[in-house]
Amino acid sequence: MGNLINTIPVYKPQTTQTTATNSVSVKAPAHAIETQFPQYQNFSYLPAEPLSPARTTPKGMKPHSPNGYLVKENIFQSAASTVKSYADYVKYFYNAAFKGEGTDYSVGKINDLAIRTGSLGIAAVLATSKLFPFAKGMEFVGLATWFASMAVWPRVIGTPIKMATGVDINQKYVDSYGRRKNFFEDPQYLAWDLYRHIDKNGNFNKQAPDYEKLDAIGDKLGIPRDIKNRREAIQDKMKQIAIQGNALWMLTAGVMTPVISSIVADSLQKPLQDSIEKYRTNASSKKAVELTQKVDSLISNNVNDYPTIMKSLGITVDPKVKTKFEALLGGESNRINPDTFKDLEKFISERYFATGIESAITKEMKDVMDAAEPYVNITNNFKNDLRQLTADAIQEVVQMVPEEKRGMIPKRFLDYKGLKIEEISKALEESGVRFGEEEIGLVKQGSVKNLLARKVIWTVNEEQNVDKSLLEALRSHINKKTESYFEQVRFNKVDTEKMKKIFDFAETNLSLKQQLEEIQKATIMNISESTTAINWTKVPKKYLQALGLSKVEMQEIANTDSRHAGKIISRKFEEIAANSERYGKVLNQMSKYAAEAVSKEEKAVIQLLGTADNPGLMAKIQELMTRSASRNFSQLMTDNIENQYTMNIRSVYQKLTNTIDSFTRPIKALDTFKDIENIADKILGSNVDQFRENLKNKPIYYMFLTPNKENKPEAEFLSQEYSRARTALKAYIKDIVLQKNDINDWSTKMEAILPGYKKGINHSKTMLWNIANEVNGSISEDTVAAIMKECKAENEKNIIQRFIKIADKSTERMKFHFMGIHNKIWPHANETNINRGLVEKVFKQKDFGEAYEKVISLLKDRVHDLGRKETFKCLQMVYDFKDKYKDAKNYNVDPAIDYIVSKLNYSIANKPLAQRSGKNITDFVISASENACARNKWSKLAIGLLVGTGALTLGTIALMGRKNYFNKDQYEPLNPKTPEGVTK
Amino acid sequence: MVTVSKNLVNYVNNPAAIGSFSASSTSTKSYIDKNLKEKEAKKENNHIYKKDTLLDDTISEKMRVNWEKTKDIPLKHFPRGLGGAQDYTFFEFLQTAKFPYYVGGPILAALFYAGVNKNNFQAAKAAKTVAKHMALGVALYYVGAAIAKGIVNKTVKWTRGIDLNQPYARAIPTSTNQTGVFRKDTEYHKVFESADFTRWDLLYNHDGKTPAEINERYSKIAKRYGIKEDASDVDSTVKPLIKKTIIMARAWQYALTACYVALGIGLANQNPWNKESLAGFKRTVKDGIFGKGYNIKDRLHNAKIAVYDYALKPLGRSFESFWKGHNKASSIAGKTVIGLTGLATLTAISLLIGKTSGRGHKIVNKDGQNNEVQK
Repeated sequence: MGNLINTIPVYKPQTTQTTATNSVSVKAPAHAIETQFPQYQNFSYLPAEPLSPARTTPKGMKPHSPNGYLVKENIFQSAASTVKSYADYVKYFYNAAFKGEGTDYSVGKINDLAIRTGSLGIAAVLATSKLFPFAKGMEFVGLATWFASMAVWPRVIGTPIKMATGVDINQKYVDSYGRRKNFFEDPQYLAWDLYRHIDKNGNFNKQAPDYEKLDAIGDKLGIPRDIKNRREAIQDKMKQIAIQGNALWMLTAGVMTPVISSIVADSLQKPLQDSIEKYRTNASSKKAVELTQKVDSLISNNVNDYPTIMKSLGITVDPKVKTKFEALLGGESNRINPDTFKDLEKFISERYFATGIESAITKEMKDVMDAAEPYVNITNNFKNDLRQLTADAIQEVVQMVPEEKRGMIPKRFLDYKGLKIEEISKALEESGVRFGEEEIGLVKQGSVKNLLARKVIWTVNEEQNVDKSLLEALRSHINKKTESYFEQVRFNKVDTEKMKKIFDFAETNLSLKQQLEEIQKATIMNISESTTAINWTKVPKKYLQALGLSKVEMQEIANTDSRHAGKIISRKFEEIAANSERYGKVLNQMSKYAAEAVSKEEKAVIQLLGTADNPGLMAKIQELMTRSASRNFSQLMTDNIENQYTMNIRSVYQKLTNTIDSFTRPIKALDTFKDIENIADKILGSNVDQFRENLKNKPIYYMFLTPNKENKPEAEFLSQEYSRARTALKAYIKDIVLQKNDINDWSTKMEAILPGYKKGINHSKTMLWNIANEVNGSISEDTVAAIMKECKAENEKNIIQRFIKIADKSTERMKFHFMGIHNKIWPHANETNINRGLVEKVFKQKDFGEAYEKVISLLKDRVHDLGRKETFKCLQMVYDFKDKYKDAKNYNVDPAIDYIVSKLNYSIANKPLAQRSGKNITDFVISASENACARNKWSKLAIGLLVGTGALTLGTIALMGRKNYFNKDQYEPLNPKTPEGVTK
Repeated sequence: MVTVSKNLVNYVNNPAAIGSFSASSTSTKSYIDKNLKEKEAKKENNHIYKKDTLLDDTISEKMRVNWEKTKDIPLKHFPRGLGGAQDYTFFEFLQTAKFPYYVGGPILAALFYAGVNKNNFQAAKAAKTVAKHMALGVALYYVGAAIAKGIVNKTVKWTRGIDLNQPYARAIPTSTNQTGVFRKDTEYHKVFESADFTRWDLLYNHDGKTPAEINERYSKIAKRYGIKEDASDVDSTVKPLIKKTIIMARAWQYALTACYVALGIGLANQNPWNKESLAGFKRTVKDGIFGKGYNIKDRLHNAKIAVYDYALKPLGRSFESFWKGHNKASSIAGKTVIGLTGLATLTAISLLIGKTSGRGHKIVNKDGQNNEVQK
């Protein structure tokens, strides 16, 4: 305001009020304005008084008594006062936004408030967003860590600055208006007066010497004591440091805020993930238990009507959907006009899309209700309407003929009064509708139409004297009219009661499907943060650690093709297998992780699927839905719903076997590596003599021989060939164990190691079969013992033992898998034959002991693959044979055996087994290494930025407060002769 | 304490230093060697602006000012700040505070991207989707902020004839500025940036001869505020109203920014964007508009596709899906954010128009009589 004086020569003439200035008056030197504009010397500026009633009007000039103070509070107190101040900010916002009152300070605080509120809004939006539930959760955490690190960083750099120089760049003060500010925020306006009564400990103390604290800081800063205006020199130095600190803060905050927030969020991820997983699995398990109980009671009470089922399961249909459905049905008439019927079909296909029963409902409607095509009801009214229609048609056609030509129309035509009722009945009869029948269908409507037209024409043209074109016009007119009449009276037959039942059934199914999905989401679904997903991120990482792959090795594995990666892995495995102490340790760790992961998943799966004797939730829901469908609808619907659930159960089970197989495979592979000499012994023979024997018996072994071109003596030649064959075979086994479980791959590779006579796989099938038997199947006893030796607690032993049992079962399945799929090339040795032998033992040799039990348990094992219906059908056959028919003469056992064997055969009944066999080891290790490398890259960047910026920060802090380009640090001695005297 | 008269003298010497006590510090630095002070003061004054100057209110001038301001952050403010220049100002601190704002986002994105396993197709795809939403979120964040500021600025400009972004150059006197190569001689501010220290002086016509000429700008503004021409002291009459406008506008700018930014992030996280809209947009712009072998008609058509099919359509759909939500919580969140944004916008506009008007105020007219309510 003051500069108005020299910028505006004329403002408003006012009388000078000399008393307005301060009493401490120093005569100002004559300024340019006074010499340049002498004519204005008598004017001085008084602000014009604003006349609006706003509060900004200056009211009285009474000075405020200064009552500002420096803030001294710890981190919690400061957090509390921050929260408290937000209440003030809301007030500021109200005053500013609705009244236009405020100051720069209060408006600036509104910005703070808006940023926090906006972030909360963003967090809420993200938290409720659909994509990646956990990733979103992490964004939420990330947002929090972001703000935290934003708030924390100035404190972090403030601490070493304070330690080095004594200046606290985060010092806050409260001014006379009660506003909290950073002391050093505006370097051109520093309220040094507030330091007057601060003692050297930083406390307010009126007894202490003035500015004791500042002097103490000055000493720490090394400001000489014997200079003029020392306090001001100290203040300027402090100002320098504060400016440097603030600039450093702004320079580094952009890097450090995301880095700290990323690191903190990352380290929070694991504990958060664990607790979220625990919470979610517990919640889903609780949900499953509750649902199981409800379904149980419905099954045991034999409840089959849907309203009761829905009520007891707590299923409510969205009223909007229900209203829409009922509107489409249109009351109790059992009739729907064709357009509405189309809408109804659309409604069903949209609402029940991908529930698996949508097509069944449509079929049920078409085949059982006969609702697919429109009908017309034959009543007396209908016939009368048709009579009237024909009469009208004649008149209308006559009207079409020009006036002057009407005379040519025969009288019989003009007088026509329409078809008689009997004639119409006859026409209907001729069209194929049996007389007395109530309805005609869509197809017959066309012929009715044509017959009517023909009959009318026949009648009016009995004398053959009507013009042909007139007759044509009449025919088409009648057709058109009938068409539109049919359009009005047509309807689709819909059994309203049944449709309502179907609706309830479908809604129940939909809701149960959603509930099951909810339960699965927490456990075995392929979505982030499910148990399965977490297992799959954790276990491979742990395996890598257990295997002891170095960073370089991981990098190599991640960045090369699978062939080369396989070599590195193979080398690692050999290393481990060679060192029996390490072998036990590694396997112990691996099986521990696997056991933990598998048992979690298994628990969830058992809750959902149960066993053959003790069905789980999904099996129970299947039973409930199937039974109620069979009571209410046709077989079609019943079969459909049953198959649907069988499929769902199978896919859930596949998830588990996939996990088990993938996690077991590396363990089994290490087992094979360890046992490799043994396997080679078994296959080739343990010494040259045995090898020679084998050569005699099995032609395949000849393929291991190269032609004896140099005509070496037999013993020497054989021993050379034996050791070569052995090496090749061992390399081959190692390779196939680490690579794909693909028989074509196996046989191609087998041929590749045979040096001599490559005659195709047929010759090596026995050997392959033997090898498959060796590398699949149970984990060897030695290995189990080595794992157990490393167990520390008894509890651990139990867990691992349990896991090994599951793992053995899984590898056993793999053995069958190989045999089964390739029974074409191994006709003499496949599971069909093994199982056939077993089943025949029961049915032919009537072995109701071991074989019987084995068949029963095999069948029960397959309940999730086959479905309960099939399994129990087979079981019933076995039970019945034992209990009723074993002695029956005319019981034909062969079809029974065939049927059961076909169901036991993995390769036929269980196509997805090939898909379900888990990841091969090379891929498993490659992807784990890739993840680890990506993580390493992240940590390299994050730690690099952290260290780099940290070093820069510390370096800058070390230079703070020093003499530099901007601060020359030249002081004027107080008294050059006496070096004493502290200025105060 | 320096006396008021001394202050006055300082103001006269140094008109830019209003609102702060900086002038006082130069006059009392008696601990500094006098010879040094003189040596430093010898530098030739090569100012672009001899005095504080109102700049043209044009887009090109604003762009130039923004470029100068941005350039000064690394070239002047940081070196001066890190060196601890004694004449460092709060304005410079605020300028440096923009640096983390620009740097933080890219670094966070870089950290996110470094952690992605690019070899794993599934993970990479999932990460790509997240990254896509992230990028879009950032873009819509800025768009949201720009919209919020724009709404308020335009409302004020159209109704009251005030451009809140009106820039001016502040000439920095060399007497307080001894920092050689890093010397700053100009700070670019906005006339209405401060409600407490609005640069009213710059709005006067300094070449005017009569009060009417001098108050030319104020009279124009007053007219837009609904104050009749016969008001006495039109400048003083309209100043409190402008101050009120500044405060209200700033408050609503902040509030609306929060709303629109949340809205932008919300929209960015909807599914419709997944349907290759970003890739499609890029492809269409790159190949369809700037690619080879199309005639003008096709290019225009492709431009329409890029704007409509790949930007507006998904925006509309994402709006819809944000409103509807996919469950109860998200539907509430979506409706709240959209509703609140709409409501806040309307409130802001109506208050800015309604509450800042000068109609209905008691105005002193030229003959000194109180005018009653003017309608």
